[in-house]
Amino acid sequence: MIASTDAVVALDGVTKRYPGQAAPAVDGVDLAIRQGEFFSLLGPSGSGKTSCLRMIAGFERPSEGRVLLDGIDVSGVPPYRRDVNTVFQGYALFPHMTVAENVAYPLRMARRPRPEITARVGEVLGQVEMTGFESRLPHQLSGGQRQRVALARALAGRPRLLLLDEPLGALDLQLRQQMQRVLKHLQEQVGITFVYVTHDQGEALSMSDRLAVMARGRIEQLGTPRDVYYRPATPFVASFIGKTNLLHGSVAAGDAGSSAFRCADLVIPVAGDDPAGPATYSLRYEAVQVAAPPRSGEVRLEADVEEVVFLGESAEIVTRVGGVRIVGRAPGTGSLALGTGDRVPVAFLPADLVRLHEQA
Amino acid sequence: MSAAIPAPRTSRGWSFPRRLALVPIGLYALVLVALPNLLLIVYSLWGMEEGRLVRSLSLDNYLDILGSRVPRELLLRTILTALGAALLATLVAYPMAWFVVRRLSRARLLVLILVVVPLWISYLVRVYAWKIILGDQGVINTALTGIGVLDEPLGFLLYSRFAVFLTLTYVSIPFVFVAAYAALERIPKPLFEAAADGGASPWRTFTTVVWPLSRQGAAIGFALALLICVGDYLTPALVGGMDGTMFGNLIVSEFGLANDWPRGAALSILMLLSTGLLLALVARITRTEGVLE
Amino acid sequence: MSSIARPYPAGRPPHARSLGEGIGELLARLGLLAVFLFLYAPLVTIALFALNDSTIQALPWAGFTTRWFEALPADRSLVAAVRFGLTVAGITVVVASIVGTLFAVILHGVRGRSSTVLQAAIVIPVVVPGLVLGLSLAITFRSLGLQPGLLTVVLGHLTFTVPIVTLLVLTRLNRLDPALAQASMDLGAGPVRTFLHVTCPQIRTAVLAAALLTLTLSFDEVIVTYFLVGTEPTLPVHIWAQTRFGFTPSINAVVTLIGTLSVVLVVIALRILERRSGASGSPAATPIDHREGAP
Repeated sequence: MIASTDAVVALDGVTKRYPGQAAPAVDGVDLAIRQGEFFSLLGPSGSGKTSCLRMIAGFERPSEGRVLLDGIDVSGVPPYRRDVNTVFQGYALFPHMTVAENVAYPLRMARRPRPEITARVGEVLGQVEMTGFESRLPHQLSGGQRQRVALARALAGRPRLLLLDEPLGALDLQLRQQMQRVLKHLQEQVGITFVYVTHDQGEALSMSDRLAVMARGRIEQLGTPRDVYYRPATPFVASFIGKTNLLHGSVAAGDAGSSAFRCADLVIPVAGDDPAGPATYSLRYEAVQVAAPPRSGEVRLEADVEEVVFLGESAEIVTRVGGVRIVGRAPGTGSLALGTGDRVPVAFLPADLVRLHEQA
Repeated sequence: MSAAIPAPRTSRGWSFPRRLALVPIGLYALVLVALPNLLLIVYSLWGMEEGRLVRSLSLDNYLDILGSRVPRELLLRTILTALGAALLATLVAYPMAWFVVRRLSRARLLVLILVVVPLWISYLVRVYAWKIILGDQGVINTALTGIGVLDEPLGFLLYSRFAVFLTLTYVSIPFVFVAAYAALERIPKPLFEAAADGGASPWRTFTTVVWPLSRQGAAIGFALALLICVGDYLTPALVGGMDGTMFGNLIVSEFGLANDWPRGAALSILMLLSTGLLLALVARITRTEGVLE
Repeated sequence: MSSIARPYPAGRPPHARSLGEGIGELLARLGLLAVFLFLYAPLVTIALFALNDSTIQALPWAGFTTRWFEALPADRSLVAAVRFGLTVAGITVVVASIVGTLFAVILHGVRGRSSTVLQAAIVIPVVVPGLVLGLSLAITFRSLGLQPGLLTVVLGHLTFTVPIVTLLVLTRLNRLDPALAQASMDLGAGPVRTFLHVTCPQIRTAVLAAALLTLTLSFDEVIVTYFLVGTEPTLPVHIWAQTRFGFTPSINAVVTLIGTLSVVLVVIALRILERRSGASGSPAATPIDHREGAP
């Protein structure tokens, strides 16, 4: 399954067990990341994403399987001999070195000539817009500035691969959004492959070329942000990314090649080729229109409003259709007229129903 | 007591009586810290004549001490011995602390406790034990002659500068270990990884990150050890013999037998000054900028 | 593209530790063992010779006896020295604990330069060589007209125990969450009641541990004490006098007894400290864990 020819980094059947823990932190992960890609590992804490990153960096050795860099097995190679650099979660800037010394560190370790080091340090500090801070010590910098220095240090040696471990986690929302743009921009500019670990779906969706959603040590789904968002493969992915209604029921074949999904007392027509049997469908909140004018081909149901959650620009309307709870989204202004107990039409297009793979 | 600086005003606004609370500490420091040190200096400038205290200020004690060979050489030898013992203790204890911090996890606390326990066994007794171990009929010599390695006991083991040096190293190790351990443990683990990530081998990680961030701690342990060694008069008296006499014994003999306290005070001040200078030098060498958070 | 080409050596099997690493690890562990042998050899020696049936403290081993322990109660000067030493230590512990804690609370409450200066000032006796402290105190007490005896010894011991109690308690106070005291005031307790009901319980263990430390320090001190005693010696000063003119193995017996007692006290103190830090979690003791899902 590994396309090792064009993969900068590949995990081949990698499992990681920590002593004293019953369940493996990483459980048989296969993954290939392409040259120049912005790749994210997305998952809740404990999903194994950081362990994967640490095995790529060389801080941990896989219990089973191989880590390949440019097609070569590096499972037993220490981090200082891998052409991979990391931006650490807490930045891990050396407190006794100035900004310039921190950034020069990988170049010094690689024994580059002094003039080259000076030039390169100036260049990367320019790229992260930290020119002028060369002689500051880390404790004299703000969080965002430290973040930039950590980034510059990791980029200074022009690694084949840059690993980022929740690098924006410690920043406030505004700074985080600004740094997201900086990161994406920088990645395009330097052309280095980025592997980005985060538990923030917004971050992963907005920056990645591709992402892997992880849970319990396994990859739940691997694909582009659009794939993962619009065509979630499993209930976990559907509910972890965005907000969705999970409808449990069963599919039965109807007449004339059509099929119907039965969920409690609702019967919803679905694509004819959906196999019969028990099924779970995902229906995104925003795909459910509440009290909106009819569209052709939509499924339209009468529902009772149970709760209106005002969110500002939009509102989530919790409704009950027979025995099924369906949450829809309405524009914030439109929600003003709605109240608990109102009877409203809810509607969605059958195409927005996504069949999920059931898991054991 | 220095002039009180206004404390940051609190919303409760009772900063005035708060500063008054410092007065008892000030009195304590005045009587039990400032006064003894002041009197020590004054005494060192007085003199003794025919067993009577002469209360006139002069530098005679200092000139006399620095002008004669024995105290001068003794001071130098004492400082060298103490320096050597503290240094050897550091060479043993620092790598040990590094190994414990880096390689042990569960056994860490146990090792720390085991190193510290000897500190709570009477200092005097630990020194005295070496007398039993090193003597002509001591543990080492009887064991070695008993199994035929030696025909005669090794005479240099006890009542020698070697014995003093060994014992001082022995008492120093726990102090340096604890200080080095505390410093090494404070270094955030991600920094080691960041160094390896940047391409530094374990050795270069040590020289560029670990040592700069822990040498101040090691220096504190070294300084403590040095202070103890310089001022120790028990060890030389018990295991040093004639050869192993140190500067401290000179001070004690001025206090006791010779009963020349002014001269003892002058000797003390010379000891304080020379160790102070040495420690200032150590602090300067091991200074590291930056703040560990 | 990649200007720093770092060669990837041929991959080793994932878990194999290299031989060199293994040998280094082994050597390090042997070194650790050697240091412990060095640290404990004198202690073991003392204990052994306390049980050796000979007045000569040398090998070969003359047989097992407890007579040195049995002879202890009959040694009048020794018993007197223990009693005097315990009196000194007892008074020192009580006074140092109270004064040291009080100083810590004051220094914690009053910030500013004068507070910092005073804190540094009271620590000076701890960082001055013991014999210098001893001589300077002897000079001071003679100048003040104090007769050498219980008072001078206790005052001398206070000079290095009070700052230790102060520092230990102050460290604890600095680690306390100020929100707790604020919450107490917010809930209507005045400063005094807040101190009694909220602050006190939180520093109690630190004070207790400091008191135990003070006890062992005071009971064992000899370098300073030697300068301050009158006709009555404390135990270590008594031993010091004995060791200088030949000695009997009964000294080994006393010392073994006291050593065992000290270790027991220290273990109790550590237990107390450990239980404390276990409850609130000291930041230094918590290793940063990168592994996801690690407990």
